[in-house]
Amino acid sequence: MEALKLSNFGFAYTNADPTFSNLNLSIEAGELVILVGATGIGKTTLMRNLKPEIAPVGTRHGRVEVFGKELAFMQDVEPDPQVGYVFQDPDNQIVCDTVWHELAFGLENLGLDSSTMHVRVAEVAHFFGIEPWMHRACAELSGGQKQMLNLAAVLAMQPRLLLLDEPTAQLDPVAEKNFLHALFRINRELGITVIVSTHTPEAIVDYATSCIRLSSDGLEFADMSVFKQQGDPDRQLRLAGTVLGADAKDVVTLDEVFFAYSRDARPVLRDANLRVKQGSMHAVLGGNGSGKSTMLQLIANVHRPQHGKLRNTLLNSQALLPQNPKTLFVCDTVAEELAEWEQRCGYTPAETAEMIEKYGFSAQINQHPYDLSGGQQQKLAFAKLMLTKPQLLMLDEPTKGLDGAARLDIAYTLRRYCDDGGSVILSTHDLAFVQAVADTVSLVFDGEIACTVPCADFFGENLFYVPLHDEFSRLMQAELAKDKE
Amino acid sequence: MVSTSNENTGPTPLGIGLPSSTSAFNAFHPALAVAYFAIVLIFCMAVLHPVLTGLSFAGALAYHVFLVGWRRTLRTLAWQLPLVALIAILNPIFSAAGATEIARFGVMRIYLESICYGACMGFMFVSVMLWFSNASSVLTADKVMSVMGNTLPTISLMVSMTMRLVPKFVLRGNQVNVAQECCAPAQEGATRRQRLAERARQITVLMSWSMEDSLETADAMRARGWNPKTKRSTYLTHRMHRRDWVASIVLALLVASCILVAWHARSTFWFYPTMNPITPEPGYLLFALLMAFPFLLEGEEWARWRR
Repeated sequence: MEALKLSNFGFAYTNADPTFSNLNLSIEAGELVILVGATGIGKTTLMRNLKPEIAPVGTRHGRVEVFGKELAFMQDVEPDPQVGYVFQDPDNQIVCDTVWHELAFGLENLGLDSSTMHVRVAEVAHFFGIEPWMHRACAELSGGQKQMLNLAAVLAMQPRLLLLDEPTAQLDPVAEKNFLHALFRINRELGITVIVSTHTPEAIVDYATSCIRLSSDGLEFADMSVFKQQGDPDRQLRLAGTVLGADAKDVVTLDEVFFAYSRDARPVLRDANLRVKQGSMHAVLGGNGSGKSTMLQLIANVHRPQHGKLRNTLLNSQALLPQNPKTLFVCDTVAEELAEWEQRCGYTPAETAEMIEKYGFSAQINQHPYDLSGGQQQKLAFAKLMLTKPQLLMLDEPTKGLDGAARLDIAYTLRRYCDDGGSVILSTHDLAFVQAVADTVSLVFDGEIACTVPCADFFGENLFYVPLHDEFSRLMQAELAKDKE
Repeated sequence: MVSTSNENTGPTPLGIGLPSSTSAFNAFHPALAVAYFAIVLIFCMAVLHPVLTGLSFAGALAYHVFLVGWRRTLRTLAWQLPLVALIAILNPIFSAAGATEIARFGVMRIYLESICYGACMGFMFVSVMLWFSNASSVLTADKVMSVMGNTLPTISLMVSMTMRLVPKFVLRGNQVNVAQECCAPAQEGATRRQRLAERARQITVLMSWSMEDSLETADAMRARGWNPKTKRSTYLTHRMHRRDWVASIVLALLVASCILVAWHARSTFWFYPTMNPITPEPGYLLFALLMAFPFLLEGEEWARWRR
């Protein structure tokens, strides 16, 4: 039986060119399909069009059939629990304050009676192992737990077709694996048809039954073998950079630093020792909650350690790019945003204009920063900080949720900054990115710095830290090959 | 705790939804606790009588010690008792009533009755605060919601959503703050006035960010069958059992008799012009029992665990 069938389907936003047209597709029930395609090609628009309740406003042609029934697109469409939808951001789709209420929310909407709801919630909580945190507040869950909760809440409504729009883009690698494994179980054990859009198909390719690609030519089945990890990963894949002399001086030093958020809280750092050399790119790796972000904030002097010594010689010319660039945006347009600190930091409008040119924002100077894509937002925040001419740059997961091209772009930008003498401390989960740009790698574990070694040694010696060969690596390989010629 | 999004600010700010401090109320339907605290607070505020107010203060204090321990109770008393004294001293300034004059400043006369009335007011005031504090440590938002949910599903959903947004808002606020603070060159050049303006703007950032998010939340709600026109049902986390009914009936009887006691006490006692003497009455015992109701439950619970 066909779970989904598109016939000559097309969509255009009001007063705009068609996003896509004449799409044809047929997906059998029980499949696990990955949807790939370049950023901005309309993957999200397509996914939303398969769920009339959240379909964008615009004109459609052709037809969409779900389990043999044609979808009707109209205002106030009857909710259809047959199709479930999971969004990208784990935080924003949580509606209620506690886990149990979140699981019951959809069922309450359907008007089910209490005892039916109890069974459904029990079932789904058991399947996902949510029972231990049934009564926790949603705000206290980790990103991975939140997304798992979102998946469970959708499944409680017993869908037959599950649509997921980049569900793991905001998760760390461990949480991503967990989530995708749950998806795999849903598909194989429960027989639910799954369509998941992603820009890191490498992580899920082993579970998928087929792959479709959305491009300007339409929708077609694609070869999955390119996404499979073959042979030994390339451990030499990195951008060329200035090699530091042995005499480079330390700009940041941590000696036996101890820090806890409150007296009775578990210490985040117990015994952290770190040296960051001028002009070097220092990557900090570590699990979630290991204290990477906290360490950056300590270095930035937002918090002060309770014990130990922390010295930051560049305290007056530092900048921190937070995980979410939105925290830095205060203006209504890109141009205003970049000009915001002109007076205060003493740079000229000419310099601002130069920055707009350099980072390719010329076409978007009048757009609201929120209307930029994730990668562009990251770049805008970066450009805004660069205008203050910092000598020490701290970045908290700068590549989170970005596609390969955007990551490569940031890699080049950072490398250039370091080659010009800037120092960088980078906290991330993105191993391929670290291998490409970092000079030194530190591993934070259990409140300590477990090791600090040159980047090449780190990836040469460690068994578990293997960079994923993904779009980013492929693009970089191509780029490096081009340079050689 | 492991987390991507709240790694930035360390521990999450609010403990909403966590099991409350151990109290025997946990073994009963939350409606019992909601009803009890509501009733006690009404009694507390409606009855101004030296003995009854004293009893409610004693009950509130004892239960507070039980719930949060000596140390925190003493810390609370350290500012509450001076507050009582302050109200007692201030009252005669605003109301020159009574018959027993104890001091005179110029034209202002201070009467003993007025001071007693003030002290009584003060104790009433702090016992209301203590009862509120006790209620909040027994009743998590969760429990209040499950009581409200039966009758007001839409309001209870709204409250739940608000409770969800508050910690998220606090967290975001911190993130914005940290982000702006960390940019040293920009902070360095800022005048005090600019910084003040910046604070105001940070709130705007927070607002537009949250608006942006709420669009997605709205979509997520619609994707999960939310429809303002259809009738929702409510997921009940608690059901009324036999023991809940028994406890409720005991409480109801106690309350009914205490209404009589309080009414009688208020109609036979007055502060002005002179306070009439207070004689021991059996009704006070009933009132004391009402104020000690949590301990009745605790005792029963304790006995069960000892068996």
